[in-house]
Amino acid sequence: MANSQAMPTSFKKEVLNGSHAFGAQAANGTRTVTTKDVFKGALFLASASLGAATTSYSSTGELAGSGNYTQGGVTVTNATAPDTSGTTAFWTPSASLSWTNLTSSGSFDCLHLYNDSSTGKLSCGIFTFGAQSITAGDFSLTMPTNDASTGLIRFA
Amino acid sequence: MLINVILGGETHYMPNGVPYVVGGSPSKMDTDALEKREHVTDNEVEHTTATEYWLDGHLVHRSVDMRLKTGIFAEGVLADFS
Repeated sequence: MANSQAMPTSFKKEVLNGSHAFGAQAANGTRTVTTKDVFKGALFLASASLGAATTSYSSTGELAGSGNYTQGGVTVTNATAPDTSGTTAFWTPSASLSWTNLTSSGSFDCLHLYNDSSTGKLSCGIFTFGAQSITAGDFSLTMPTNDASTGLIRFA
Repeated sequence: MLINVILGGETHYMPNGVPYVVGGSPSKMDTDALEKREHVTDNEVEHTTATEYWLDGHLVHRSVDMRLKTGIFAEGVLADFS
C-alpha cells in the first residue's frame, strides 16, 4: 500500500461536467451565477493507497482524530481565481495549510485535496511528499508558486 | 521560550530515518533546557525544514515547515475529424 501523486481520473470528468468551482462560475442561459466551492485538505498515512483511482474523500487511511488533528482536514484558502498563461490554466490555494500543536498518529506522506461543497466530497488532487511525523508541533504546508509551470492544479 | 512537548514517550524511527514518539503526555518546556536539531530536505518535490527538540536522547517536539515545489498536471487532447 502506498499513496501516489495524481490528478484523480474522476476529477477530469467532473471538470467537463462543471462539478468544481475553483472560481466563481459565470452565468449562462442555463444556470445562474454560482459562488466558489469550499475545498479542504486532509493528511493521509503513508500506509494508505490514494491515487488516480481515488474518487472522493474518505477517512480510511487518514491521520486519526487525535493529537489536535481533526479528520476531514483544514479548509483551503481560495482567494486567487484560476488563471492562464500561454496555453496552460492553473490554480493554487492562496495560503499555506497549517496544523498547530499537532501530534500525528502515524507517518503521513499525502495531502488529499477535495471539494467539501460537493455531494460526496469529490476528490480534486492527491499530493505526496516525504513521509513526516509531527510531535507536539506545527506542520505548515506551503503551496508552490502559482504559475503555469508549478501551480498546484494545471491543465495544458 | 516555552514550547509544547510530549514527555514520557518512546522515540522510534521511520524507515526514512524520521523520528516519532509513541505514548507520553503533553506538557510545556523551555527550549533552553532542550537540544535543538534541524534537518533540511531539498529535492524536486519539496523543500522541508524539520525542527526537533530532544531531552536526554528522547524526542519531545518536532515541527515541520514544508514547501511544495509543484502540483498535478493534465494535458488536454482533442480528436481529429476525418
